[in-house]
Amino acid sequence: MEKISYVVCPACKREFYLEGSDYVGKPDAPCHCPFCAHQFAARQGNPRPPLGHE
Amino acid sequence: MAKQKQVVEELSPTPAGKDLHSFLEAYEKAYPELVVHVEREVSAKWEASAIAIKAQKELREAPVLVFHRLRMSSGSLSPFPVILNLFASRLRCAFAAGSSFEQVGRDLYERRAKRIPPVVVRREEAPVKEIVQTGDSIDVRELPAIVHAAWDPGAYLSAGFFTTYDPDSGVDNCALQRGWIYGAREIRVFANKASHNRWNIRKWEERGEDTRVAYWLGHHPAVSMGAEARISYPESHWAAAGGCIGEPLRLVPSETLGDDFLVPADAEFVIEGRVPRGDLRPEGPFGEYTGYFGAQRLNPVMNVTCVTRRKNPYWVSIVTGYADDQIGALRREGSVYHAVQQVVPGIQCVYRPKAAPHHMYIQIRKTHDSQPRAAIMAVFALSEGVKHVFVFDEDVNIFDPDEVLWAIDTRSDWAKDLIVVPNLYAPSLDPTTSGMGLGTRAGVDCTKPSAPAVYEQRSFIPDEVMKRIKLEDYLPQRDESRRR
Repeated sequence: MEKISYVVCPACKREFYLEGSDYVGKPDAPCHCPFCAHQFAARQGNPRPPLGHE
Repeated sequence: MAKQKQVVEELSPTPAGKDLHSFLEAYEKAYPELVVHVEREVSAKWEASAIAIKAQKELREAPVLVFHRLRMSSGSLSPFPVILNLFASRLRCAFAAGSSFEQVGRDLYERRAKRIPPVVVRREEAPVKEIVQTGDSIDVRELPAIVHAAWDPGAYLSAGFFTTYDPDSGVDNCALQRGWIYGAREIRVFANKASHNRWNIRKWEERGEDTRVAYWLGHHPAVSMGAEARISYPESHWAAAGGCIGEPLRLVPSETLGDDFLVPADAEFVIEGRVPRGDLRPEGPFGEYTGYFGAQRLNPVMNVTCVTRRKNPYWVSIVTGYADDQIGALRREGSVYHAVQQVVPGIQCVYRPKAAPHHMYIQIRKTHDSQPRAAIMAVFALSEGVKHVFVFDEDVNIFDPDEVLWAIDTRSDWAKDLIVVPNLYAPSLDPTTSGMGLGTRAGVDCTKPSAPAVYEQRSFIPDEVMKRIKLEDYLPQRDESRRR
């Protein structure tokens, strides 16, 4: 399992990262862009590396 | 909730306990130059943090900063003064604890080990109840929490002690756990999965119940340092904090969580709420003690039910990842000192250097070659997140980074003096920790071999000469600002 996965906010295109252990196997779990406050599903942020499966 | 076995149940009038106001008054009287009142307007978004960090880096001793004109994200000026850098000085923490620069970590450990059960006072005796807000009148966005670092999604509680009670034993638990002020009555809490608070939340969930919780913020620094203790579960942080201040901590019943949910009577603020079962929402990133941004996680949500405070409170923030992390450093030092003392009675001192949150320096009076390794193994067994342990002889000043580097350089041979153990518990916020919460620990023996082995003599100038020579007698126009 990857420790972190970078995502790109679909709205402002800035990057931040998610905790792998919280999001593994949950591609539809919500994310909150810290820069523009846009809410999106993890999969919409093209996680890098991929979030993997539980 | 189970009966609070450790609490004295009868309510009794007690003299006003030690609090943040009394500490600041005493400290400013003793060190007026180390309490700086900032009257110029400062933005709560990053500017207050920047001033705090620059003060830490550019001044010999970081003063307490009291911001009197903080412009909040809402656009309005904070009605309360905001304090930063309260814990950013080891000397200041030692002053608060009645200890010394060298031994404050150890002393705090020994004090909180002498648990003193709290006392419960009446609401009218609790300064934190001077103002009470409930229901729709609450808007925690009006609190002067700051936006600390560039990737933080908003203003954070960074010096708040998140408090829960164990449903089985009724014992309290406190931890310094960050909270993102998300909405008018919503705070998203980073209650680490391995933390005792998170265990309590899970227990309440297993019972089919929401968890009653509170943040308390602002108190005498010794109370904060005591409450921050990593103690066993379930064990009372109230009693540990009382040990640190040498008297029972005064508690008072909550407003909206039941009379059995107790909070510190002399805090500056208490924020009460409930964590609904199974509701996890995005929280973070946040600039953490490691010097990196902790990742965004799915964390519990606190629905705020009440805010109580003093009439003239101070708000306190901690800029994590910098010198203000002293509060966590001292806790680790105390745990390490105690653990090593069991196996190396000649332990003299321990120090967690400011720049390296997972390092620990241990100074011993060595009498046998096994002792450095024994010390290292004792520290490895702790869950204190100490990753790199260095053991030094007593002639090495472990508070001097130059001496530390010199001793590592000239007294360790890594073919024999380096111990590396992989796959131990490691804090999840450490970037080197794996996704499974495992990491590597290493220890270095930086001591000279014991007798009858021989070693080179450290070079020195005779004491009499070093004490007699004064620079000002020889160097013209000495500039005090250049003096270390």
